[in-house]
Amino acid sequence: MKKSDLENEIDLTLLSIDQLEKAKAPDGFMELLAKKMLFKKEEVVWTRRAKYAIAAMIIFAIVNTALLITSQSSSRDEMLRSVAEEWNLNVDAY
Amino acid sequence: MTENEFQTLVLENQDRVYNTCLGFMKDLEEAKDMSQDVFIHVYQNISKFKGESLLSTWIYRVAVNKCLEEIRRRGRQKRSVHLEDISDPSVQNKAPDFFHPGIALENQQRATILFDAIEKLPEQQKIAFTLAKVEHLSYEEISDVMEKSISSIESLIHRAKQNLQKILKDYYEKI
Repeated sequence: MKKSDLENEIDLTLLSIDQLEKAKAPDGFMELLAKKMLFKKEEVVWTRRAKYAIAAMIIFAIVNTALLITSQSSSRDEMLRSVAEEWNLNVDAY
Repeated sequence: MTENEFQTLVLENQDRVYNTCLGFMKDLEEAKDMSQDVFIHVYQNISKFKGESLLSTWIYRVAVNKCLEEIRRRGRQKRSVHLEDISDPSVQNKAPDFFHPGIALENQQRATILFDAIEKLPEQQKIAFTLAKVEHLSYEEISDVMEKSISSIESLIHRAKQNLQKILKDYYEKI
């Protein structure tokens, strides 16, 4: 390409969007937006519900573990006490 | 903000938001999705609008920032894909040729080359040039949207034009 042709082509390219007409939003834009907003709102509600469910499960697990540990230690104490009584040992000494 | 007020806001601004998003995203479907996200953001954050500028200027700013966030996110993804599989032809040259619906048919080919060249500009120059040429904003309006002085905007657009000339020169010399 000649230098003058090259410069001309560059100028034409730079000018090619000067007469650009602004694009208009597609038909039904508002309706599509309303649908998307509703979907996002539902998504937020479900995410919140899932968070509450997970939190409840964690609390349930913690309470269960605590109860299990407590019951295990009390049953161990009872066992020691019965063995001590059987052998006529002073229970309070242990 | 009531539902009716929001509806009025959308109807008043939907064309300019869509056109701005189209200028940055260069894809009709993505521009539509992005415009919707812009209005959802506006709805959720309207309390943050302090009235220091025009509402339309604030909405432009949201639109530009949303588009740039998405472009940056894709840039990061593209880089990581590029590093993972540089030899895969399916991940190369993904940007399709863009035909803006508002450009006359005889200018479409040159406009596509120009839009590709605009993509290669530094970010601030790209924003200023796109707002001026695609959205036809005045330098004053661009300075409000970009929160820069008018002289900075003049300088950005001047440098954008110089860079575009260089990019286009390289392009036409190669073909």
